[in-house]
Amino acid sequence: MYRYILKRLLMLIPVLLGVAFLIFAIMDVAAGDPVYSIAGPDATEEQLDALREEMGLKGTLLERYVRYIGNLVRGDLGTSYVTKLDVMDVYMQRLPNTLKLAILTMVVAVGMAIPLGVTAAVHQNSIRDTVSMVLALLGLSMPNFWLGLLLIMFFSLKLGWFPTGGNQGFRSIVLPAITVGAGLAALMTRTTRSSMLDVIRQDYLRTARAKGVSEKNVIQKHALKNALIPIITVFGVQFSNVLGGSVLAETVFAWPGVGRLVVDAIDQRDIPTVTGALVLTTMLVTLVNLLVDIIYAYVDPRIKAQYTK
Amino acid sequence: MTKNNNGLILEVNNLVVRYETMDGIVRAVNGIDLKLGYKRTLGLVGETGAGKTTTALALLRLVPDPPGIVECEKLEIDGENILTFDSDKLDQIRGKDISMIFQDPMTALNPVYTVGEQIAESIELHEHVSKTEALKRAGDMLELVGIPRSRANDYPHQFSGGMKQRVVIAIALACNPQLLLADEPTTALDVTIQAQVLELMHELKEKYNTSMIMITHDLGIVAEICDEVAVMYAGRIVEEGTLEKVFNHTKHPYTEGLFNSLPNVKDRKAKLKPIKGLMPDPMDLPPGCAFAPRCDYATEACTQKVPTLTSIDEAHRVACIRYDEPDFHIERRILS
Repeated sequence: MYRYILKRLLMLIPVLLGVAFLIFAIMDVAAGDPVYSIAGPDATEEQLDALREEMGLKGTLLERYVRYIGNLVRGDLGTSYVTKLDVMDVYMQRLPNTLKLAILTMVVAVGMAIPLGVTAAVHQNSIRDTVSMVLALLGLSMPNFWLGLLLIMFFSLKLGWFPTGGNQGFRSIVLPAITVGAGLAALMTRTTRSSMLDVIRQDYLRTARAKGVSEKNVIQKHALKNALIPIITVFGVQFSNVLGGSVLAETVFAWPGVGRLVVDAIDQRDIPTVTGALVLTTMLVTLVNLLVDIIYAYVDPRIKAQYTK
Repeated sequence: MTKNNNGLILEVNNLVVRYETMDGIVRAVNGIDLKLGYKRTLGLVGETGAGKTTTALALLRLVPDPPGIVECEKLEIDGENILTFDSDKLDQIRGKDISMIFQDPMTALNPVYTVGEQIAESIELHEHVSKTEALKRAGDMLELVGIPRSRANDYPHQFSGGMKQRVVIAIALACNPQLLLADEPTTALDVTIQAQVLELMHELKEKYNTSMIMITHDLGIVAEICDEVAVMYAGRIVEEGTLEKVFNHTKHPYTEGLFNSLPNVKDRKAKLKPIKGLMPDPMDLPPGCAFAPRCDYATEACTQKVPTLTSIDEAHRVACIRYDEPDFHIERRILS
C-alpha cells in the first residue's frame, strides 16, 4: 500500500509538469504581449525591450517554460503584473478561505445527499423517494447564484442571521457553503440512490438479516459501505471543483477565495497570477485524486488487493 | 416459558406466499403444512421454481415485502408463534434459534467485511459478548468448518467457492441454532467439494442436535442425510413421508418422474427419462392438479380440483386423486 502511494506521488511530477506546460502555452497564445499594456502607449521600442528583459519574457516558449519550472521548484511563481505582489503570497493568502468554504460545502453536500439518497433507495417508488428526487432535481436545475441571492434575501436581509457577504468569521461561510453545497448535493443524492439500489437487492443483505442484524444496521453497516465507491468518486470530483474556487458564489457573497483571484487576474491579463494559481490548484486537485484512491482502498478490500499487486 | 409444542421444533399450517408484481401475481407457495420434530431432518425436494427457497424465507419471515405477501395460519418455532413477533423480536431469533444457509456462497457474503467479522457479528448480536470475544469465537467456528483461524482476517474474495460455503455454514451455525434451513447448500459447489460439505453438515448436526430442513433437488443428498421427505411441486407438497416410504414406496407420479430422471448406474446404456414439459408458470397455474399437464396418469378429473394430501398410512401422505381408485398404482420399479 505504501509503495502504491509513493508510486502515485512520483507520478504526480510528470502530471504537474505537463499541466504547467499546457497552462503556460495557453496563456502565451491567449494573452498577447503584455508589455504594451504595462509600458503605456508612448513607450519606445527600446523601453519595451528592456521591460521584456526585466519581466523574463525573452526567449522561446520552451526557454521561458524551463525558466518558469526552475523558479517553481524554488517556490517562486513570479510577481503580479498588476499589483506587483508575489503570486505565491497572494495565493496562499486566499487559499485558507477557499479551503474553509470547500470543506464546509462538502460537509453540507454529504450531509444532505447521503440521508436523502439512502432514504430514496430504501423506500424506492414511495413518496419519500419522490420528494428526495424532486429536491435533487431542484438542486441541479436551480442556478447557483440565484439560490445564493434568495438565501441572502431571506437569512441576511429579512432575518439578519448571517452577514450578506465578506469574510467575518464562521457565520460568513454558512450561506455560501449552503449555496454551493445544495447544488453538489443534487448529483450526489442521485448517485447515492442508484448505488444503494444496486446494493440493496444483494444476497449478502439477506444473509445479514438472517443473522438477526437489525434493518437499520443492514442499511447503514452492510449496504452503505458497499455503495460508497461511486459516491466517493463523485465526492472527489466535486471537491476538486470547489478547490478551484466557486466563482459565482464567491462573487455573490464577496468571498475572497481563489476563484475570484483567478477570474480577476484573467480580466486584467495578469499572466503570472493566472498561471501560478492554476498550477497550484492543479497540484491540489491531483492530491485530492490521490486521496480519493487511497480512500477507495480502505472502503473496498478488493481494490486494496489490486493496488498491492 | 412452558412450551406447548407437541415435541415439534417447527409447525406450519397453510403457508401461502405470493409476489404481487407489475406483470401479475406470482403464486410461489400455495398452502403448505410442515411439521418437524426435534433433531429430525426434513428434505424439501423439487425442481427449480417449486417454491422451496420462498418457503424457507417465509419461515424466517424474510420474504421481501413488497412485492411478497405471506399468509399463514400457524407458524410456530419451538412452540413460539412467530407470526405475532415484531421486528425486534424477529431479529432476536434470527441467527440464534433459526438460521439459514444460503444457496449461492459467491454472493451470500458481504465483500467489504472480513469473514471473521461476518461470523462474529452474529455471535456479538445474540450472545452479548465483547467484540474481541466474538472474534475469538468466530475463529473457533472457522476451525470447526475446517478453515484455519489465521484466515479470519481475510475477505470473501480471497476464498474459493467451497471455502466460502464453509464460511456461510459457520455463520449459520455460530449461535448453535435449534433449526437450520439449508437452501441447496451444495448446488454451487464442485462434486468433490459437495461430499465434504455434506459430511461436515452431517457431523455438525449430530454434534449440536440441530433440526434441519434440507432444501435440494438432489435425491442423492436426501437419501444420505434426511429422515423425512416432502416433495414440492408448483408451491404445494405433493407427497411427504419418511425417507423409506417416499423412496421405496413412491406414490406420486411426480416423485416417480424425479426418480426416473436419475441416471441409472447399473444400466449405463439406458436413456434418461426426463419428465416431459416444464414447470408451470407460477403466474398462471393450471386448474386442478398443477402436475396434471405433465402427468402420464392424468385423467379428466385431475384438472377439475386441486388434490389434497391424503394419508396412505401413518408415515406417508400423497396428493393425487387417482388414489381414490382402489387399484391405482404407478409403474415405478423399486430400486433395491
